[in-house]
Amino acid sequence: MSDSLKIKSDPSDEIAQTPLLEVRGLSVVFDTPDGPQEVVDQVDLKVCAGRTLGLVGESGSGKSVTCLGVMRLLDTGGRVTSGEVMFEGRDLLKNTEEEMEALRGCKIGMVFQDPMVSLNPVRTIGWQISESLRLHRNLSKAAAKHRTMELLDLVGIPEPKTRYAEYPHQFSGGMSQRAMIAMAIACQPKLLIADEPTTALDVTIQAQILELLSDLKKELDMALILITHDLGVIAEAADDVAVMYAGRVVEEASVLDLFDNPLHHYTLGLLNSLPRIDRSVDRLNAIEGTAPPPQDFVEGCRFESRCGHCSDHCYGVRPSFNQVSATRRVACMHPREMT
Amino acid sequence: MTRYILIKILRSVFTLWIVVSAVFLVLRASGDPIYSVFSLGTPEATLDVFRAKWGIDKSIFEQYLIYLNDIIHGDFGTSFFDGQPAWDLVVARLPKTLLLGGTTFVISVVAGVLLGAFAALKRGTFWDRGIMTAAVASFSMPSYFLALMLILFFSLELRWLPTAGAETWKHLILPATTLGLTLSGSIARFTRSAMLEVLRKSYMRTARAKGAPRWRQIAWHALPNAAIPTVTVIGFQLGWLIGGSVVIETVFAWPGAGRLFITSVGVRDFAVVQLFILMVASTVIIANLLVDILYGYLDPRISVTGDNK
Ligand SMILES: Nc1ncnc2c1ncn2[C@@H]1O[C@H](COP(=O)(O)OP(=O)(O)OP(=O)(O)O)[C@@H](O)[C@H]1O
Ligand code: SF4
Ligand SMILES: [Mg+2]
Repeated sequence: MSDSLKIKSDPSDEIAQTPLLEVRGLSVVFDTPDGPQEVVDQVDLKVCAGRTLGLVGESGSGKSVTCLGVMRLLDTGGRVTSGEVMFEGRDLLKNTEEEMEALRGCKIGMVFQDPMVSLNPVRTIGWQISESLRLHRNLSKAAAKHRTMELLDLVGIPEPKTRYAEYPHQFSGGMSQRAMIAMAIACQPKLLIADEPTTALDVTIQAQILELLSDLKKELDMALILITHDLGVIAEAADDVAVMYAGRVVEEASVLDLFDNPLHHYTLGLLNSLPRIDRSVDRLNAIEGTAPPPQDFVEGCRFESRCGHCSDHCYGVRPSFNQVSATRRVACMHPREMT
Repeated sequence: MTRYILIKILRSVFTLWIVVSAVFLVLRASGDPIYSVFSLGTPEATLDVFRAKWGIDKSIFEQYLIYLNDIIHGDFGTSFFDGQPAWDLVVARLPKTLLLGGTTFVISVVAGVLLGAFAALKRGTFWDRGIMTAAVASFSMPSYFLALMLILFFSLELRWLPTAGAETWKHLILPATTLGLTLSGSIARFTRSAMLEVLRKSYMRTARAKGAPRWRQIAWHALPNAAIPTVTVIGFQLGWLIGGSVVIETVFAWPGAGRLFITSVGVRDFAVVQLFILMVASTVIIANLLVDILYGYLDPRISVTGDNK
């Protein structure tokens, strides 16, 4: 099995591609009552056209903030303090707000975690979806409505005619998320960022939404950033993975390499906490301890308190990236063996 | 729907009945009009003629039944003093009251909503603090005190504006400002907090992620949501406005129904007082009904039929 699938992750076909989005050294600081806190620290990410990057990490590791920083949608109090966000050859951080408005919802779409609260309760579903079209495509009212119906159909919402005029409270969670997705892909973006798109939904609906996302990705030839804290979702839907821990990326790999041979001790911990058929249940163990909150972030390895391989080298200096192969990097002083 | 409206109407009639009965009783319990019409020492015979003429020789209960019967037939009684129908007296004063109340209401709602929304958008800045300080100051000050301060400054000190009467538009400025400052102050405060609440919502982030420009986020996404709680509050303020204008009409000698009411209470002119209260109660009830309807229109989660409540 792994042989036939490994072809997919063959490094050579990735080197050929220039990334659609490349984030370099992105840091985000929030002003809090206790002073400024750096919650995202020098994050690098790379997404190639047509591929899915899974961004995985425990709650609070900075996945959402990273993506909001990329979209320049941080809440007041949050700001990007350094880095570059290269998208189609331009640094988004140097764009004006107007240029960002033209880009958001047009070239880059975004879907959020809780669809029920992410839709405006006083506007019809149809209005909200066609708003993207009215903003970015110079469509007439009738054309926008027609296109919205097509979109509703595309994301699997039955009876588009009726649903168009309904309000969010008349939609179930799964249907709301489909509507959110329709809104985000209305203008056929090059990149879709989905921030835990299935976390708030039932398990059966989760699978449907993931399937929808991967279908749409193929159909519209989009790249996808899929944020999740669920490695099961990653295994199912991602091509490449970046593992985040306490505001930093600690490991990057193709999905197969990551599952086959995790190099960072944190990644291994995450994998070990997954239920697996080939392991008895009593060995299903989460990593002990908890991730430090931003105010306790240190310069050295932030996993140190939970790591069994820690040495003096792990303190004081940030573990630098070790480029293991063209597609793999790991930021650890004593990484696991490559097999 | 019809059932819903029917229940609403029945409830309104019930409320009116309570108000009317309470006023009827309180008026009669708190003093005899005979002593505001006649001087002490008037022969009993004269008083008896007066009592018989106005029906106040009968028992309270009988009077009450007659009164109820009359208003059901659209007869609101006659003033003890001018001998004119109370209806004519009050209605003649209404245009001035509506002029003052209407002007105040419209300006206060517009100013209050705009200032409140502006303060919310500029949260934590000089503008926010300035607007909110002014708002709190204006609605925590008693309106007669505010009125006197304005008169002292603009009329007596600067001599720009008249202190009393209603002849020109200049006469309108001071009473409307007094009432309006208080009203717009509280509307601004409510609008600001409703707006802040809405700006925090996830759907505002969705609008930004869609590429909606700032003005569009505010006008098309935030304001329609913030309007829902604000409309309710503005509806409640109408009752306050009527109460406030009674005081203000008196302070500024504004010849409206409120001032007529105050003088009529003083002399126990039953018919006029009763009619005025009935009108105020009806206005408040109608305003609440309008708020209800508007609410259902603004918030699709609530259907006017009340099924979804
Ligand atoms: N508006 C904010 N103000 C201050 N701190 C914030 C704000 N938003 C996020 N943070 C902090 O930034 C850190 C990263 O948060 P983020 O939402 O990116 O985590 P996440 O990885 O997306 O977690 P989750 O899986 O829970 O969504 C957290 O410690 C959080 O407390
Ligand atoms: S750097 Fe050290 S403490 Fe951190 S994960 Fe690697 S071995 Fe563990
Ligand atoms: Mg998140």
